[in-house]
Amino acid sequence: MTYNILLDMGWPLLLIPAMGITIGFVIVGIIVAVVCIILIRKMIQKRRDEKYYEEKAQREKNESE
Amino acid sequence: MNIFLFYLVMIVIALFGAVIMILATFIPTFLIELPIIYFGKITKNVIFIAILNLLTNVLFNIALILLYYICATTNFSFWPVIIFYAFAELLVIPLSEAGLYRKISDASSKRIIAFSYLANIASCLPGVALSIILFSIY
Repeated sequence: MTYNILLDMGWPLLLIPAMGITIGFVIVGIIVAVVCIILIRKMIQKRRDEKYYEEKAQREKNESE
Repeated sequence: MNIFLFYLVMIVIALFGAVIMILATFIPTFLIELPIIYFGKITKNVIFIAILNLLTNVLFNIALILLYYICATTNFSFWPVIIFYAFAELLVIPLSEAGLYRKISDASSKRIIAFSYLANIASCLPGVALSIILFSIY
């Protein structure tokens, strides 16, 4: 007689698909989160640079006046 | 059971989990939060709004599913999930989003916080319904 541990487990067998879903969910989530963090940092830096150059241009304009 | 078959089944189930992750984050972000923030005139930068909301939704969903898994595999009640849901959706996510919107937006702080709360509460309600259906597998 073969002993099948998965069938012998009973209801905790249901935790195996739950674990699989959790693993897929978390791996994809971490990849998306890392990409998002990199893009957000870039965008905020870009906006900060734009503000800096706008202020600089304004200051130079005021000084020339 | 053949162990390779078991791995194959686990990979297919993990891909199913990945699809659920994408649905659970992209649908509320693009259908609910993005229009509210954009038409609330917080910022015209659609990509920034989408990415910021994706980030908060992804982090929230990762924490939520791990908490769900812990609660389902131990003798905890589901109160930690409910407390986490309320704490995240009513305090952490709207305020952190508002802080990041302030770095890029010229709108007033009150307006940013108000629309951030509005967007998150609006996306929370279908999110609760969706999570009850999807996570009933546990």
